[in-house]
Amino acid sequence: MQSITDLLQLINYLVLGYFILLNLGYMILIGVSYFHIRKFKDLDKIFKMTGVYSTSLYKPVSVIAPAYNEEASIIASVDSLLSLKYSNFEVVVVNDGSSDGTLQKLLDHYKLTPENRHKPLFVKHKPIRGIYTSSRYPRLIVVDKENGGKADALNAGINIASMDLFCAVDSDSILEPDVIVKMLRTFMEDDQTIAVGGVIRVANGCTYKNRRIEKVRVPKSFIGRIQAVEYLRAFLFGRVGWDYLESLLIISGAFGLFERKAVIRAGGYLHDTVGEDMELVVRLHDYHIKNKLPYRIRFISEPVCWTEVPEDRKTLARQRNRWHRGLADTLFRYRHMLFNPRYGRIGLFAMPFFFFGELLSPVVEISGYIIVALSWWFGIINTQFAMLFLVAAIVLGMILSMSAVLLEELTSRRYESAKDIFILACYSFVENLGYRQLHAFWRLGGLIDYFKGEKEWGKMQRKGIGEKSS
Amino acid sequence: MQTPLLFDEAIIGIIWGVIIVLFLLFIIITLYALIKRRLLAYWQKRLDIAENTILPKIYEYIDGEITEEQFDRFLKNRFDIITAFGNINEMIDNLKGDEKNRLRELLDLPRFKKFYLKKLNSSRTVQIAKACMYFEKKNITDAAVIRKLQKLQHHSYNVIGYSATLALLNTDNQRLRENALKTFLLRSNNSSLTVSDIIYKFYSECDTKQEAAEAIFEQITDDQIPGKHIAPIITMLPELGLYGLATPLYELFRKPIENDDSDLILAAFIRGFNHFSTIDIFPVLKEKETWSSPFDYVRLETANWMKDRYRPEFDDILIRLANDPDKEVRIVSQAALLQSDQAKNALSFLEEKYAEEWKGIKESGGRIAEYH
Repeated sequence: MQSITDLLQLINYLVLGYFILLNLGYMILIGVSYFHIRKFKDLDKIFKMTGVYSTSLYKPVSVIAPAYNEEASIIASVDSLLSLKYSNFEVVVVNDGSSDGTLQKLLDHYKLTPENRHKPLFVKHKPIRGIYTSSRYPRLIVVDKENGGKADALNAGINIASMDLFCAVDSDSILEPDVIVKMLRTFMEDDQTIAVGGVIRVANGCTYKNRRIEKVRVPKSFIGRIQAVEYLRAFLFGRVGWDYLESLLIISGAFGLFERKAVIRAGGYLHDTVGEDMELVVRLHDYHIKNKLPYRIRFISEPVCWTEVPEDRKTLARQRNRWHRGLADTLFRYRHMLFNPRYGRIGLFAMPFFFFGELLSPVVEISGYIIVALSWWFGIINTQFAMLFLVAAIVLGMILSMSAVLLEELTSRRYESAKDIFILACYSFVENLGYRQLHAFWRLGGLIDYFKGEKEWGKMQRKGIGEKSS
Repeated sequence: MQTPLLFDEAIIGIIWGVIIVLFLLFIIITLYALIKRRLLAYWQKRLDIAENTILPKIYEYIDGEITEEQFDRFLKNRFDIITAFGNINEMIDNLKGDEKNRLRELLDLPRFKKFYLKKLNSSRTVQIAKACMYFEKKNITDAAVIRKLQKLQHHSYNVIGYSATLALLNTDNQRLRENALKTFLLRSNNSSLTVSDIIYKFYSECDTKQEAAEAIFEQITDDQIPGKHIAPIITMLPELGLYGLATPLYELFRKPIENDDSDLILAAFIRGFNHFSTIDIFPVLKEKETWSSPFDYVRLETANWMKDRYRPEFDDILIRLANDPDKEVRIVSQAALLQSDQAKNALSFLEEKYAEEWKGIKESGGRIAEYH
C-alpha cells in the first residue's frame, strides 16, 4: 500500500511539473508572438519592390492544387486560384486519378487541349497520363495522373511547375487574393528563405460572394466554434512564436510557399506518411543543417487561407487521429534530431517541445486524470486540491485561447461583430469542459494507431465552401 | 493513512494565488482585446471619414481647383495626414509627368513633414520604415533629414536600411545618390531582390541612361562590394536595357573574377550575356571551363547559353553536360543536343541510367521549362 501511494505521489509531482513546464512554454510563445506580430505588422507595405515588380525578376510562383474527386467544386476553386493578385504565376491543377468527372469538367470548362511537353522526374510520383493547357487561360496547366495520394500529386505538380517558387494549396480551400504578395515579403527580406507558411482560418459560418469571403462569422456548430478557437491558437501564437525562435516545424499542407529547388533537393513530398506537410518541413531542416546550407523557414501572420473544418464528431476524431499519427511519424523518423546540439534550437527546443509537449501530451493528460482520481481515492490529494488544480488548468487554457483572440484583433481583425469575439471568449472556457478531454482521447488513439502501423487517411465529408452563401 | 503530502495548506494557498493571478490575467487580456478592438474600430472609422474628405481634395488639387495652402487646411489630424499620404503615395507610383510632380510638391506641406519627421525618430521598426517611404516620395533637401537617413542606412534591420536608401535615392544630388547606393551595397545582409530593386530605383532617378550605366558599372567593379550583391546587379542590366554596358562587361568577364568564391558573379555574367548581348562569350567559357564548375548553377547557365546559341562545336561540352549529376543541367543540355547531328547517336554517349530521360526529352521535342 505504501509503495502504491509513494508511486502515485511521484507521478503526481511529475504530472504537475509537466503541466507547469508545458504551460510556461506556451506563455513564452504568447509573449514572443505578441511582440513579433506588433513589430513586423504592415512590413509588406514597405517591401513593395515596385522596381523589381516591373521586371521579370519578380519571383514567379506556381500554385499547385491537387484535386481528387472534386467534380462539384473544382471550377469554382480553379477560378478562385486564377484570380489571385500577382503578376507572374501559373496554376498547376493535378487531377490525382479522380474517379468522378473532375478532369472532364476542367477540360470542358477551360477548353483545355493536350500538350506535349517534357515531364521531368525530379521527385517520384505515379505516372502522368496527360498534360493539358488552354490558350484562353495561359496561366492554367492541368496534369492528369494515376491516383497516388496528396503527396504524390504534389510531387507531380512540383515536376511540371516551372517557376522558382511553388505554393501548395488544397483545392477546396479559399486563398485571399493578395496572399502570395504578402508571403513573398519573406523571400524579399532574406535570400536564405526556402519556405513560408501562412494562417489558416475556419471558413464554416462565413458568407461568400464569387468564392471570396464576404463576411467573416464564427461557425454555427459547437464543434466548428471550438475549432475556430483552436485554429487561432495554433496559428497566431503557436507558429508565430516558433517563427520568432526560428524553429518552425510545420507549414500546413493546405497553404505554404516553398522554393522549388530546395524541396527537390530534399527529395519532395514523402508518400509513406499521413503527415506529409510536417515531414517535409522537418526534412528541410534536417537536410539543410546536415549539408551546412544556409536556410530560413518562416511563418507570417497576415496572409490567410480559409478552409472548411469538419462539423461532426466522427470526422473530427478521424482528422485529429490522423494529425497525431502524422506528428508521431515525423518525430520518430527524425528522432536523431531530438536533443541533438548539432541541430541548434531545432534539436534542443522545438523537437523536444513537440515530442513532450505535443506528442506525449495526450498520454500525460489522460494518465493525469486517472492518477488524480486514484490519488484522491487513496487520500494522497484531497478534493479541494484536485478541484483547484482543475480550475487553474481551465483558467490557463482560457488565457491561451483569449490571447489568440487578442492576436487576431492585432493582426487581421476579421470578425466584424463583437458578438463573435464574445462567442470565441466563451468557447475558450467551454472547450476545457469535455472537448479538451475528448480531444486528448482522440490523439491518444492516433498514437496507438501509429504504433499499430495504421496509415489510412480516412474520408472527410465536406459541404463545400464558397459555392453559395452559407 | 499517512498525512497527504499535497494536502498542505500552504500549497492550497499558492494554488489559490496562482488561480487569482491567472484569472486576473485572463480578465486583463479580455479587456485589452475588447478595448483594442474598440480603439482599432474607431481608428478605422476616422480613416474612412478622412478617406471620404481627403481623396476628393487630392483630385481637386491635381485638377488645379485648389491650391496647396487650401489643401493644407484639410489636414486637420493624423488620420487625414495618414490617409492623404497613403493615397498620394500610390498615385505617385502610378501617375507620370506633371501630375506626379504636383503631388510630390504637395508632400512638402509642413504638416506632412512634421508628422513624418517625428516618425523617423520613432523606436518602432515599421514606423521608421513608413517615414522613410514618405521621404522616398518627396524631394529631400533638408540636410538634417539626409544625415538621419544616411545613419538609418546602417540600421541592423534590412527593411530600414532598404527604405532609407530608397528615400536617399530620391534626392536631386547625383553624388548623394551614388553614395547612398554604395553604402547600401556595402551592407552584407541585403537580399538579392532588394539589391535589384534599389538598382532599379537608382536607374530610374538618373537623368540619363549614360549616367546610370556609368554609376552602376562603377559598383560592379568595386571590389569592396560583396560578390552576392554584384550578381543581382549584373542580372538586372538586361532588365534595364543597359545594352551599352555589354562591351565593358565583356572585358570584365574576360579577366579573373575576384571576390566570387561561390561563382555567383560568374553565373550572373553568363545569364546576363545570354539575355542582352549577341557577344560570343564562348572563348571565355572555354578559358574558364565553366562546364566543369563545382557549382551546378554555373554549369546550368553554361548549358542554357549553349542551348540558346547552339553551334556544332559545343557538342563535346554538351555531351559532357548531358551526363551531369545535376538533373536540370542534364535536361537543358540534352534539349540542346536535339539540335545536333549527334542526337541520333545520343544513346551511345549518354550513360545508360539517363536513357529514359533522353527519351522523354526527345518525345517532347525539347519543350522544356526554363531552368535557372
